[in-house]
Amino acid sequence: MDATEQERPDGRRRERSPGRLAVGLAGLAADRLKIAGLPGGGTLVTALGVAVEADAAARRRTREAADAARRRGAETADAVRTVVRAVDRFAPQPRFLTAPARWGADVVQDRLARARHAGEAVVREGRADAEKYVADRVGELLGWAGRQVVPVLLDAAVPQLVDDVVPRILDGVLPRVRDRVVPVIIDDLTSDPSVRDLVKEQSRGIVSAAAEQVRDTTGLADDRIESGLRRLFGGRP
Amino acid sequence: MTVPTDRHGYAGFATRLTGLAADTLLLTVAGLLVSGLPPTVWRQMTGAAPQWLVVLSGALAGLLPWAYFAACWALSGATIGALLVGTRTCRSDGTRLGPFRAAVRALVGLAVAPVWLVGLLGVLTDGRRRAWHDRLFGTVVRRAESVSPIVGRPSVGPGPSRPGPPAGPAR
Repeated sequence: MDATEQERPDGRRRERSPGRLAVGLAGLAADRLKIAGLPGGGTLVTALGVAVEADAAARRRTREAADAARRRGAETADAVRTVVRAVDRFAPQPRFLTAPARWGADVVQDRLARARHAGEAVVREGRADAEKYVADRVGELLGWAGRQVVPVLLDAAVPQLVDDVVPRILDGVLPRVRDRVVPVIIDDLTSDPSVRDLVKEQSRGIVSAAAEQVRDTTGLADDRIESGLRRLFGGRP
Repeated sequence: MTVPTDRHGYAGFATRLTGLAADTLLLTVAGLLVSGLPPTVWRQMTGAAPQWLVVLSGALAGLLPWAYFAACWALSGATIGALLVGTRTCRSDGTRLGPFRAAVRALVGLAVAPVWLVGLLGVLTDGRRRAWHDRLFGTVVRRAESVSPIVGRPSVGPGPSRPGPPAGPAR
């Protein structure tokens, strides 16, 4: 058997096409999604079935168009032969003889064109349906994973990260950070005008606070000294 | 003498003594630098310092306190020690001392420093916390938070016979 052909249960052979293979892969993916509990699994099967039916319809239309073309071709050949005979017989009247052949050729071309348009429409609609379906399923899958899977994974992974992975990373990275990164950061900070202004403002604030403390203390001392003298001299310091 | 209720706007005994101590400390360091640094630098560069440099440095160090107090009182009314404790020296009407009055006040204070210090006891008895030399020169020492910016000319404000500024924050 040829590699591109498979045998059906009814014994007929069929070609293995990339499109059908893609449909099969999509079916397997739909089965996985149903097992995972995603909603809308039946819709997936239905959509795939519709796609397969559309594909079959397109192929049937194409095959019918081809058969019609073959029949028309045979009929045309018969007509041609008849025409040839008629030409032999009615050579002086060529236009009368060739008109039926032209009409047959036009009919065949028209049938072929309509079949091609129908097939293209089926393919276009199937592709749009498949894209919408895939987009919906991917969105649902991501939402479900964000709600159900990611928190569980994080809960399971964080203790492992904290106890094992992060200490090892820090042990490996910190010496390099201390040797290479920290000096650069310090240089940047010391040369940064905004940081200098900040330090200046803080220093100024410290001096102001100290001066304020001195003022409060001396003011309080003034009052205490004078009140002590007033008590000592009976209200007349 | 009864104690008025509005004396918190003026600097008291402890405040003025603290400011004076800060100025004294500062002037001591500055005097040592002015008197000793130029001869030392000269010796380091060329050898023995000439006598004129030693005399000049000493004279400048001797004049430094007077120049310091006179300039500070005349220009802003506050020395560095006064800024530390938040006081300003001004005339009784709130105006700036003026160069002459500031220079004489500084000269007298430095010439008779013990009397100056004794005169500070007058702060304890005066309604506007004036020392003896304040009465002599018509000056007061106000706390910074209770005085408006010192103006160059007499304008609005209590005169010498008027009561002092409104009471400051209660302590």
